[in-house]
Amino acid sequence: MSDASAPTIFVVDDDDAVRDSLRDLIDSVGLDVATYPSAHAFLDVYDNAQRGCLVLDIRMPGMSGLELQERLNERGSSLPIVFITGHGDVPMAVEAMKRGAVDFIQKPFRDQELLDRINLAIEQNRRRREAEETKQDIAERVSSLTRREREVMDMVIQGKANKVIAIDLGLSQRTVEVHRSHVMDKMRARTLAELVRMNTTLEG
Amino acid sequence: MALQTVSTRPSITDERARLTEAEFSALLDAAVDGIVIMDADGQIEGFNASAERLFGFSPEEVMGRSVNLLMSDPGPSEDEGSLVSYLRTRQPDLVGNSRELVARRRDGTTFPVELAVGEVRAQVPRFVGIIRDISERKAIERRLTQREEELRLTIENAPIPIATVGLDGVVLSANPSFCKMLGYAQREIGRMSFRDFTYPDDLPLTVTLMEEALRGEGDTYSYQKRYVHKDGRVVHVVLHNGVVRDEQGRPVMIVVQVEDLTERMQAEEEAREHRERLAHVDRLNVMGEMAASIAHEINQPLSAIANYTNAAFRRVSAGRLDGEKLSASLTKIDEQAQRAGEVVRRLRNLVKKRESQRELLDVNDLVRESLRLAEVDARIHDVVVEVSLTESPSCVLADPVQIEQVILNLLRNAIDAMGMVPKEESRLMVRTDASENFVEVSVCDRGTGITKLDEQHLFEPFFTTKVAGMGMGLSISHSIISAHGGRFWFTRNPERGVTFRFSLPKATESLV
Ligand SMILES: Nc1ncnc2c1ncn2[C@@H]1O[C@H](COP(=O)(O)OP(=O)(O)OP(=O)(O)O)[C@@H](O)[C@H]1O
Ligand SMILES: [Mg+2]
Repeated sequence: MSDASAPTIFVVDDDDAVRDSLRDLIDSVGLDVATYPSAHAFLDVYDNAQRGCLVLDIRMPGMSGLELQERLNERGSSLPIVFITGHGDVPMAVEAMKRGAVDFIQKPFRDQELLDRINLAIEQNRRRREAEETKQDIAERVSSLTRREREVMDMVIQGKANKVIAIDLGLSQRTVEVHRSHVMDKMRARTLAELVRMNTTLEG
Repeated sequence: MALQTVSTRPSITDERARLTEAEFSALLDAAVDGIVIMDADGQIEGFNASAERLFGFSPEEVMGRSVNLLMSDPGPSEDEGSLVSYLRTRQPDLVGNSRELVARRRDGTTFPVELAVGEVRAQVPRFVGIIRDISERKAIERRLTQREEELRLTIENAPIPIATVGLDGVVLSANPSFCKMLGYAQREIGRMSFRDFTYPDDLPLTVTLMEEALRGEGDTYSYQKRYVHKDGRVVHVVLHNGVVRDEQGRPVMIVVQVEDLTERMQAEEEAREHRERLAHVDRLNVMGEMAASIAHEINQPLSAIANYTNAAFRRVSAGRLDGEKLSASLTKIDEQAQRAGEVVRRLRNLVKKRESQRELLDVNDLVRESLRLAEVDARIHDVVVEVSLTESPSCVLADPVQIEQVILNLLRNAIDAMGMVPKEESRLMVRTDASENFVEVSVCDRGTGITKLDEQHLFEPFFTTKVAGMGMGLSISHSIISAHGGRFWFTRNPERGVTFRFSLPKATESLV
């Protein structure tokens, strides 16, 4: 699922001039940008696999910025959103933040402020995707374990000594050692600490 | 019954009529009126059948007695009106003419009569009294006068103004209500024509309607018009007019009944003013609500401009901007600048929507009114308001709503500025002062004050430090006061807070 292509900045704004100027600004710093005049237009083409961030005017006729955010949440999208708010929209922005928006910026804003926020959002999106990918990776490794290996791993993570595991599972200590070494191999963990961290990642 | 004569005296039939006594007697008895024959002293000598019926006396009872017997309270014989004096003086004009007297019946009851006396010129003069009972006529007359009096009293006391107007337009009569409505004395109005107190613009209508009514068959017509009170005030009325015609149907005069609309109009006016005031307060609030959407509209083109500009900058510094791309950007920037200007223009129209109306006003009244509007605000925020109004003349020529808007914004700003100040120190002072040429209003607070930095933007539209502020208050106020030829500024208080002031040119006598 990892996508090596550059992130795209999706801009949704009903105001033609604002939309076009945002495209111009984002393009001027060499980022890929795609613009949409309405929430619907964006939803029609967006799929969760696309990376980047969404720059969204909170006030729009038709589907509002907040509604669009909700739709994306429903779809399980992790696309970060930078809301652009006007004067007096602070309560709305707070609501958006509660629902997981990355940030909001109040008009009028300095271009650098917006670009900074966009970069932050991309970075966050990248990290989150990486985390997701790692998680998926680990999950795949876990699924390659046999039932017995899985049991041994769980007990190892709990900090049990091989002797204790052997008694608990009714196995010889030697057999436990073999299982344990398979677990470390399959999980590609070099140390116990690494194995523990992988499991926390999975649970998180 | 036959006429009885005293036989010792020569019969009146002897000399001239030569009628037989029987014929004469029959003649007298046939007369409808009572006939009494008297000698010069008023002694009754003859009494016909009608007289018997009228008085209830039989001829025998009255023969030889004074005719005073038949009169009510004849009084001293010289009395005017007494039949005896009448006979004595023998005033020729009385003889042959009729006059009214009060007669008395046998039973003492009295009744009005009309008496005509004829003199029989003979050796011994005699008088013939012809007496007609006029009780019925009198009763009708009395009833008529009574009714007339009632009608007069009714009209006199009617709360409704009523007048009669001749065909030439001259007032024939006007009741006190009518006079009061127009401020004239009854005596004055009697000499006037309706043209004198009809509002000039309404004269053509008045004349046309009157002519139509006089010409046509319709006898009543109603319409709304304006009169002018003696003091020049306009009086709004509805007239209900009736054309009075004689038996031939010719118009004689017009009866005018007036419905005075002044009070109703005043009530309506007050209601309207009240509504307008509320709408005005509303508008001030709505302005706050509109803040977000207007700011949004202005922010749109401004952000677009900023974005295009910054994009161009970044391309320039990266050495990636060709002339074509630059001119495309500049074109877009210009378009957006125009668009922003358009929004501002629309906003200005919105603010200007209500045409400025200059009136002669006492600034103190405006301050009081604004304080009334800000009262709730002050109470909610526990702000004590001290007021000190000048006693010198403080009249200005100004738009009341606009000036109130200015004062109200100052009050609200002052209250806002004291939001964080302890209650016991939340105090604001409103003053008016009059100098030779100006009236000054000042609002002094003990609030947070204004930093040097903020001071630079204070009067700019949309400059605000408040979450819910629009930042239009001071900007609009400034332009309102300037438009009134006044000055608008603020000073820092020595201790704390600021004092906002504005001055307005005093209305000079010539303007008044
Ligand atoms: N009496 C005051 N004390 C301190 N600051 C003030 C005072 N009056 C005005 N200001 C400052 O000036 C700013 C502009 O005032 P202005 O009346 O123009 O707009 P506003 O009150 O913010 O919004 P509104 O348009 O609703 O009036 C205020 O936001 C406030 O920062
Ligand atoms: Mg204000």
